[in-house]
Amino acid sequence: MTKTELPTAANPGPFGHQQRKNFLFPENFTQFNHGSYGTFPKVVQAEIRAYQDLTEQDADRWNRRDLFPVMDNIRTQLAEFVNCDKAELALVTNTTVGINTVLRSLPFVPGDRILVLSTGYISVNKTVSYICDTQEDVKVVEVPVTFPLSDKDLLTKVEDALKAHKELRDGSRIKLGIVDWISSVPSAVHPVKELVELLHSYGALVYVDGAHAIGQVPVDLGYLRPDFFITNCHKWLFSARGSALLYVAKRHQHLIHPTAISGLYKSGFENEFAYAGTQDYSSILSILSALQFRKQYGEDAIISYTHSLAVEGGKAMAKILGTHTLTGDNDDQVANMVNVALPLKDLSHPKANTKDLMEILMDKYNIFTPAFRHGEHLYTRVSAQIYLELDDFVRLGNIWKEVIDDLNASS
Amino acid sequence: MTNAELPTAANPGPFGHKQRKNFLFPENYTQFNHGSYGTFPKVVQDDIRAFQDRCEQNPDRWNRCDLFTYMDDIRTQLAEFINCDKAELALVNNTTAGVNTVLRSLPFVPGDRILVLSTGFIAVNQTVRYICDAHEDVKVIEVPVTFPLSDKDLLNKVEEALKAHQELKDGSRIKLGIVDWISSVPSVIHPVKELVELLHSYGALVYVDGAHTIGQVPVDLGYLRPDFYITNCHKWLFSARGSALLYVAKRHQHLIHPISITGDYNSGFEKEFSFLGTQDYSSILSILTALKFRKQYGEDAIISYTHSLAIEGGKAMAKILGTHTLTRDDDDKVANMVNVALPIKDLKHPKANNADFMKIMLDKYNLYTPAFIHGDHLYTRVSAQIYLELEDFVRLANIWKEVIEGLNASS
Repeated sequence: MTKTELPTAANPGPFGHQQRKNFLFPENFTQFNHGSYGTFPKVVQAEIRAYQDLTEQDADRWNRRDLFPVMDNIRTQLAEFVNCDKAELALVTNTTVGINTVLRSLPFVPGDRILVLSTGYISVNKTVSYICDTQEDVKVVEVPVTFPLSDKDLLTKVEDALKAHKELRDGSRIKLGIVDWISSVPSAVHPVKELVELLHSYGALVYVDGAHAIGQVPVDLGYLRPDFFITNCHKWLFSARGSALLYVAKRHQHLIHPTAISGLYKSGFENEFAYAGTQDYSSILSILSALQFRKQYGEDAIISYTHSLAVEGGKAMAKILGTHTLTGDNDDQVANMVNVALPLKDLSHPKANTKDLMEILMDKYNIFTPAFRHGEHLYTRVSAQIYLELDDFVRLGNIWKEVIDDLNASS
Repeated sequence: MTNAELPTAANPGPFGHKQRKNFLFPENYTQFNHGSYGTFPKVVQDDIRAFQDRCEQNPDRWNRCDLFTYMDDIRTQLAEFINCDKAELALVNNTTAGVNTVLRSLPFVPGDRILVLSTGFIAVNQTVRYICDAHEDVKVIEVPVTFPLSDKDLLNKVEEALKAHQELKDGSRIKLGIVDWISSVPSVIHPVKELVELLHSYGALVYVDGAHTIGQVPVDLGYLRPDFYITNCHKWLFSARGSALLYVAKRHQHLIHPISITGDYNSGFEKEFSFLGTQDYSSILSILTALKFRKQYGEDAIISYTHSLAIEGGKAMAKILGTHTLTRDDDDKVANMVNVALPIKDLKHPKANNADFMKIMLDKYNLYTPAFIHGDHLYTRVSAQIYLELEDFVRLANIWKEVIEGLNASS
């Protein structure tokens, strides 16, 4: 397909509601929050169950022998997908595990500093807190970030923090920077290549938290060249929950060990990460059928549609609500997730929190999109997907209008 | 049922081949190695799939709300099952995760020593090795153990090691001892209560590796009183792979954090361990159905049958092979797993290794029991289960006889 033929919100091609039958949704349920837990097509579920059945037919044959070529094949395919050396890849359960794998392996010493952004994912920033709590004189440098923020301004903020640290001249050094490729809440595509280069230029290692990356944006590690990278396949790649990909550049592999040390300790990176102990590997194996499902359409087609839908859907919602999207006209900062401001009059309304809003949405409307405060506004984050269409966003906009109107009336 | 009525190898009651239809085995396959990867009944698989379906119908409702009710119920039921406070329990994926959770959380300082037995599980001993590598002047004390060994002699060996360390008077201290309740390979029941008391009397904390315990022997933590304890539910309790139970005594909980730090860091033990990050929790939830399945018969009945079958099966095999079991007449040291010596003439035969034996067993006979050298003999470990009968052990012995005679002829 040429660029002009790629599916969009206006011209969905093979996407939109016709995709619902390929998934596991009940009739009356629309998934607007794919970004949190993902979901997978029926064919992927069928494969998962086939693998589970295969395992029970002969648990030894499977866990001692036949499992491994399949795991190996996944790394071969993903290495091609993300353009890196297969030997630098490991399959882990999720991003939190991937972050802990690296952070709890790296030999921090007194004076080390870890740079994060305030918009980093909570588990990531908490893991950094844990590292600081348990290591002598290891501290966090947190760059406060509030969107909307242009790429240029975000890079300037980070550079200011790096410069300010340099000015301290207290013998400490920024050992590692952890940056989102696409942040979670709020969701914004970061200038990740420039961030990697910037941090490298200040002598820091870089861990790119690409939890939301694979399947949502093109991933090219040969171009990006991070020291570490993690991405959840179960978010945007259509595999089952509990399947993530960890990248560790060869030069660092001698330092990195799994969060759960196995019998293969010190047998080399690939061996150490080949087996994570006794568990059900079918979620990880589901990556294969997920890739196969996506190949029918091609990554370009999928990404074109979901991105276009997020942008158009965000605009449509903002119009209905009389508000704006977090990233405004900056469509490059939106991949599949868009943050739409909610027209709440009083930000300190007792029910203006994720939990209470969740109860209302689930119990009354049978849908959910996370609501959160950022800067001066209350936003909700909506996830575009191949099984959604523009009219879903319109319906969601009207639901949120009703919810917020009610709250405003009860202020 | 009174003791006299409990099922045995001679009187299987509701057990034996009639149980096969409750499980997922193909017609031509017999599972003799339940101890490695376990397996589960069809009803457990049905419930796993029901949970998975429910999750896909509304991943947010499931992962943010409903999941936790079930996780909590599991801890309530298991606390009663093993006689401890629910607040001291956490659900984790497997023993390796449980051992790493504690070892990588404990604040080891220079001079700390960790005591293990040479027969400890490889992943456990490798984790200790990692701790020693990653900390200054933290060392392992490995007590060499070769079975057969009476409980009294085993305790003496451990006490000698403790005394020998005390004699060093070098300022170091044994901080932690890790002991198997039932070792893996070879499989032997240890005098675990006495080991806990012995190590406590020398001022050491005790981590009881009970990987093989729940469902195989009665577990009473109120009686045992370890500092830490881990057990795999997916080994002998009939839940699915990836479901284990970690016990951390309240007095230590402030030190112990998950191997994967989440957003609930520093919110207290129960909260910190309530969510392991995004994954498929149906394996853990399968504990509920496993308990229900077992309740039909009662733990006493199940344990009586499997223990009796292991003893009688081991005797029958030793007779056919013209050899002996590792634990000889010491039936108290056998739970469900029995180690039978194999009549190989030359221990150094190039094919006398587990990998080659596995190939022969799987490819020619479509079954598998692990083979290993211990002391001066080659043994194989056989797992009794409710779906096996004495004649299965007879068949297995004749197969092993054929295999070993084949090797002896080709020496």
